[in-house]
Amino acid sequence: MRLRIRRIRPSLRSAMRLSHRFTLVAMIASLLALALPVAARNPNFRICLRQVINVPGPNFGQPPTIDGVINNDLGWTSAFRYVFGNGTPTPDGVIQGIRDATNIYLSFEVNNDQQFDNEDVIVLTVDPTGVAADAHRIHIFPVFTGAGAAVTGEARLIEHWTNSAAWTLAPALPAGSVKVTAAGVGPVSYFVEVKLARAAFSIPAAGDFGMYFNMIRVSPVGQPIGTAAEMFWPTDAPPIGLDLEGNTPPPNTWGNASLAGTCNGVSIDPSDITTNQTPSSKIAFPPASNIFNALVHNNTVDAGGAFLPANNVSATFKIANFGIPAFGDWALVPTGNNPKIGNIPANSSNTLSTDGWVLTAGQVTQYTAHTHQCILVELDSTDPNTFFVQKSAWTNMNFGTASVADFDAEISGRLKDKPPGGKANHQFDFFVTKKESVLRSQVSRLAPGEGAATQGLDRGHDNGEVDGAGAGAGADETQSRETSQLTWVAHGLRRTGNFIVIKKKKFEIVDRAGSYGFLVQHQGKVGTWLADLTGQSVRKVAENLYRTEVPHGKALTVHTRVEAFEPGVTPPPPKPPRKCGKAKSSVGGFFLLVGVFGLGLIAYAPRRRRKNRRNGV
Amino acid sequence: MRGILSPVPYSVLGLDPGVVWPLALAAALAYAMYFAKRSGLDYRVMYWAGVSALLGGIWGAHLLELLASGSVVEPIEWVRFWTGPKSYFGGLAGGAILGALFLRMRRKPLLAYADAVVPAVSLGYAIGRIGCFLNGDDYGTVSNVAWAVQYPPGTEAQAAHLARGLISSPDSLSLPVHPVQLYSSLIGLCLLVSLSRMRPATTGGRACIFAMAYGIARFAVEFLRGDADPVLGPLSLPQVCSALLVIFGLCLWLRLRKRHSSLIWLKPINGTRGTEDIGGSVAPS
Repeated sequence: MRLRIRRIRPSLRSAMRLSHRFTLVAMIASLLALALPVAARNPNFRICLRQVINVPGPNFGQPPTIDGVINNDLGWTSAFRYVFGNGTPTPDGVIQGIRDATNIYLSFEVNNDQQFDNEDVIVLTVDPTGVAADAHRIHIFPVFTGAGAAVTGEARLIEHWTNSAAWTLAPALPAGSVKVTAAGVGPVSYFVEVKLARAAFSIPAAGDFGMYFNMIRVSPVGQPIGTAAEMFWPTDAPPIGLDLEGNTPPPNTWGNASLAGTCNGVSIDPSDITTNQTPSSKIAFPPASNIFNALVHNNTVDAGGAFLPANNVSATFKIANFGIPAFGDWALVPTGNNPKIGNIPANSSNTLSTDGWVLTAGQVTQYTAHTHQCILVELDSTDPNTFFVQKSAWTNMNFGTASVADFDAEISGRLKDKPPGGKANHQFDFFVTKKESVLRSQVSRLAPGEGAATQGLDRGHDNGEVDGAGAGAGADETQSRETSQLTWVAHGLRRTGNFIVIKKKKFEIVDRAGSYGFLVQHQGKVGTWLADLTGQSVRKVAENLYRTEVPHGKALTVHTRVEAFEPGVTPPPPKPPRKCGKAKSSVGGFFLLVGVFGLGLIAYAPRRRRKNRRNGV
Repeated sequence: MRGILSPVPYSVLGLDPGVVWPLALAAALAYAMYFAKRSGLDYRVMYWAGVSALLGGIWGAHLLELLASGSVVEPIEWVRFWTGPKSYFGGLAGGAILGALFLRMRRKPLLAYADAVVPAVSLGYAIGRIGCFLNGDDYGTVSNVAWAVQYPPGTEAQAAHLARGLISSPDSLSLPVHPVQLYSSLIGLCLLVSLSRMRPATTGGRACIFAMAYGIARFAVEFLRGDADPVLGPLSLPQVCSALLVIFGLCLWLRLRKRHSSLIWLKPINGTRGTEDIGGSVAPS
């Protein structure tokens, strides 16, 4: 018997229907896939560009004036503000953002640059819809090498691209979209204001859109090749590296921006960190106790512009030896109320303080060689409705009085990443900035039966210009007393061994390792301040630029001596270091010992002893 | 020479500055032992005197450099003689003091051993200055002579020129300078040869001549030093020390001559005056 297998074959028409349906579904799915973003943006980084308010008065509601002048422009009041801090009062970079009905406004401030360079660049990207074709990238080259900003305020070069899948040159930005000013003579600063029309960039009125900034500060000084320090947000994104135009981070690494919803948040600045000691960096020994304070600010607003409190904000205090600490060097301050938790009222500030820390005997031994410490404050909150603009800050400034002041700082090589190229040592460059100023105080002479009164300080301008004297307090005579002040800051840059090419010029990427510095005061006028950075393996490679190497896993102590010379006193010429015989002492010592020992063997060789005995020697 | 040795290499034939100086000291000790034996002295005593002088010399060099630098250091740094830069005159003084103390303890004739050691000191100096040349230390003044040399980045000479604004780029060579270390080395060699062949009139004569000759030569060479630091008017510390050394040598020589003369007149030998050879030429009466 033959088994017949019956196959049920669909009709041809049915088969065609099925295949058509399948094709249609596949096409729709493909279209949807193309339209959807490849992956979500970085959810941990969010900024809100709130509506311009300015200040009450005739300019109420007026946006910033796009002229390159950021300071004192009240249009930036309550703008989103992100600071690239370094532990000193002058941060390396600041970004601000605000909007009105028509435009979004962004400002970029770059400080502590060694000089103006054609290759200094600001990268700004916007991803309004999540579709690659709609993304924009803008490269702003603000300044001219050696000269700074153009007199007209126009940036040296602006380039505009669209389509993040394959960046394509796009029409230039409208005139007046970008303005630049610059200041300083090493270090230098430049300020860029940008206005982007919301309609032209398809910025949505509601919901998030993607944003990324990168301020690349280059310097050709410090050969063999120049350096480039990237300051970017989100800080989680990869650095551009390699090639400026070919290596923009992908949109899924950008942060989120919004024109609506809760804006601003909680922040802290290096100047908000203090202790009960003078200076704040000093650790006091028993019986004194050390109390750490953080002044935390809150300017959170809701979608309607109403200020909101920030609850359960915790401030964690950590310390590390004064200098350039590595991530792992920070140690929790061992005292009660650390972290300290508190609420920050709406549109206000609150000081969070630890309990007093009295050092134990063991801690006294530990900190005897390091009485000055950097202080780091990290903010956090368990309240999901508390938002942060600046979650941490650290202060790294010391204080001293001259005629002569000496400071030691520890440069840490205890980094997670090993030195590049398999080397044993991390290479650090230090760019030193110095600012001289004169403070004038007024002391009232004692009139009969009256107590002395000291008026406050009239802070002098930079470079020795002094304000006019203020009024006295009704005493018979007032005397003006001058205090000269030097602010000395070393900015640490760590070479990474990675490179970026900007307009066909190659720069080595450096990590901003942090800065440290001190204020030195001298009673009376100072004609010349002398300050020099020295230490084992520290060498001066250019004016205000030093280089040193620190073994991985270890630390190096560097020394700065500051001397104040009054007018008319000529400082001594610099003494060149004398190093004869210093090279490789340990190796040399070994050879010497071997040589001396060998000669001893020759002198006391047995055959010579017998022969000498025979000869009566 | 500028074409061949610009930039000056850090090592030659595998010898770098870290090796050259110890080699110089060991060679000096060996030569001192040899010369002691040749002079009829106990070379083993010379060995231990040399070791004492080495220790005293290294520490003296360290101490004088610390004093000369004027820098404030922790007390432990005075003892840590194995680190930091060294001063030649400090080494000479420290070595002489400790070596002399040792010989005094062993009741050995100081001047005789001093005579035997000075050629060795010259040899050590000649070799050691080559190390300074390779390391770029103690460099010369800027010069355009055909044999001037240039130093690469990372050397004291290049760093000093950069700091003074004589060169602008941290990567460029230093300006051409006198190879003053080689001049010093040549002086050491000349002293070695002449002192070794010399037969001094009296014990201690070789040491006196070394002190005066080296002092004068060093005083002159210091004018060609690019890192000279005036401490007494226009004179640098090595020049002051050289002058003192010359004065010391002169005083010692005069004293020895006077003693030698008085010995001749007070101690006639074999009934005659001035005819016996007692170590030097004596005018026959």
